[in-house]
Amino acid sequence: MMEALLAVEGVSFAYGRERVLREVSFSVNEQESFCLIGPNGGGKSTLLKLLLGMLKPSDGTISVLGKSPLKARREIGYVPQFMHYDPHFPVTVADVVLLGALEKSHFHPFPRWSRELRERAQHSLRQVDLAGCERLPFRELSGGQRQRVLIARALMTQPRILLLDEPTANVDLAVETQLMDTLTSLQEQMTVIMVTHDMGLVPQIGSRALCVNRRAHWHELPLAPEMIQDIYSGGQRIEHNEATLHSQGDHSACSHD
Amino acid sequence: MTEFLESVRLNPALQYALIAGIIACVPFGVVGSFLVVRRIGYIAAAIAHSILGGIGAAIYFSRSYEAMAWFTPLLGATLAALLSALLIGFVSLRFREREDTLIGAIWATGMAAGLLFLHKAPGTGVSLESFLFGDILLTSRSDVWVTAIASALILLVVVLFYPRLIAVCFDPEFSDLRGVSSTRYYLLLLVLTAIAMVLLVRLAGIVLSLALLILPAATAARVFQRMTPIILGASFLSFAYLLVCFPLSYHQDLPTGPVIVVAASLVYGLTLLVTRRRGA
Repeated sequence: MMEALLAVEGVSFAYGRERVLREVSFSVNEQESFCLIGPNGGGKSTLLKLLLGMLKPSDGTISVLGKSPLKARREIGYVPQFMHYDPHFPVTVADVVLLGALEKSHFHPFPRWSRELRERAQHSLRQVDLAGCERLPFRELSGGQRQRVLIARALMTQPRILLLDEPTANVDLAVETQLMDTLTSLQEQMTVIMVTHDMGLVPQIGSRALCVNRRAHWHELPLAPEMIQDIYSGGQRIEHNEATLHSQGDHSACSHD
Repeated sequence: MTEFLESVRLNPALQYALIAGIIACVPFGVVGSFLVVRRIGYIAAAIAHSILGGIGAAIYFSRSYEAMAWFTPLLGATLAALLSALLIGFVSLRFREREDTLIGAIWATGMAAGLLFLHKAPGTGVSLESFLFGDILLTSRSDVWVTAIASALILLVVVLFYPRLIAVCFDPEFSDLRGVSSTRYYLLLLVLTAIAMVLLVRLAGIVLSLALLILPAATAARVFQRMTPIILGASFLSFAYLLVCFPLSYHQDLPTGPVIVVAASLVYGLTLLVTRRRGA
């Protein structure tokens, strides 16, 4: 029997008395990429933290690659949101990527990383089209380039799942297109899970999207034509509009309370 | 210069101060660089001021009670520095919004406790000025040993955990995900800061200590783009300031600490003008 890649069963979570997620259940098969969408405060980030084992559910079980999230961490590549790291920190591109190889049980005392790790870092940078940029200072890169470096860092552990938290939040449209090309090609090698506010990007990742608003519900893609027209009219990106999204398709089970 | 060298030859305190200063350049460069890139210089300042509390307590208790003669000012300073470092670290990680209040409280309470203890300490009066501004003519052979051991300890820890310290300073969340506890290594960094401050307060006094740690590193951080060159640059600058300002201050009959701080500020200001880059 094929093991589900992600199996979330009746998961609830509350910060203190505030319930953020309520009986969330879904499962994902190997190689199935998808976007995590939903309004702000709907619980997307919380779900992400639960999948990464940074938070523990107050109810229910989560299994990632057949293991607990904590044990599966090594096989999940994580690309954090823009504000979570220090963009002015004095490191080079290679320094950042190599930090992806950091492990609890392995020491890499100053000054050198092993040859194998340095080669793997070069390979990761090739995967995100940044070959030859190893020596550039990270703080002088553009927003889009930084995102790719962070993707390369996440690829250092050769993960089976790549989790990205709003990777396009801080980049312009042209850069966004490049970033999405990179992610599209990575989808062939691993499961890509992307949290996004940008409805225009949803159809590019997988064949369905998971909408999280206290509960979770799958939306089959492509989204209805009028919806897409909405998104592309004027070539502008639009923020996720709950009303628009739920005006089409079957959302009987998608409770937004 | 010959005159200075002759004085150094004849005056052991000058020799000790010079040797201790030279030894400490590298660990100060290391700790200063981490403080600058992590932007937590103000924590080091609070630690420095809390040290007076520890020194005061040690002098008071060791003079008041014979059984407590083992409680030396160095021990008091180290305990106070470690305690305040861990306290600030814990609060800044758990209750971020209260961090500045706590830092202010530790800063002032450390000084106040120190003044009270020193006021009530039996025996001849203690020169408060030497704690506040340092007095290199009081440097002894044991200071050299303490500096050497503490410097070796700081360097050993940083060499062993270098990539981890960089990782938790750059992106603590990601470090946690990789199983490298950002809390633990942040506290380790503060402990190293506490040790460096104890050394620096002994050599240069409380008031000037922070500038001596921060200015060379901040200057290097304007010029270089990676941690290792920043650390080496900061260490080299500290060494250069010492080598230039020590004889200069001696020759002009000026206190050494302030001469170094003024020189370091001037170089930092010039660097700011020359390198108008973002960051650091």
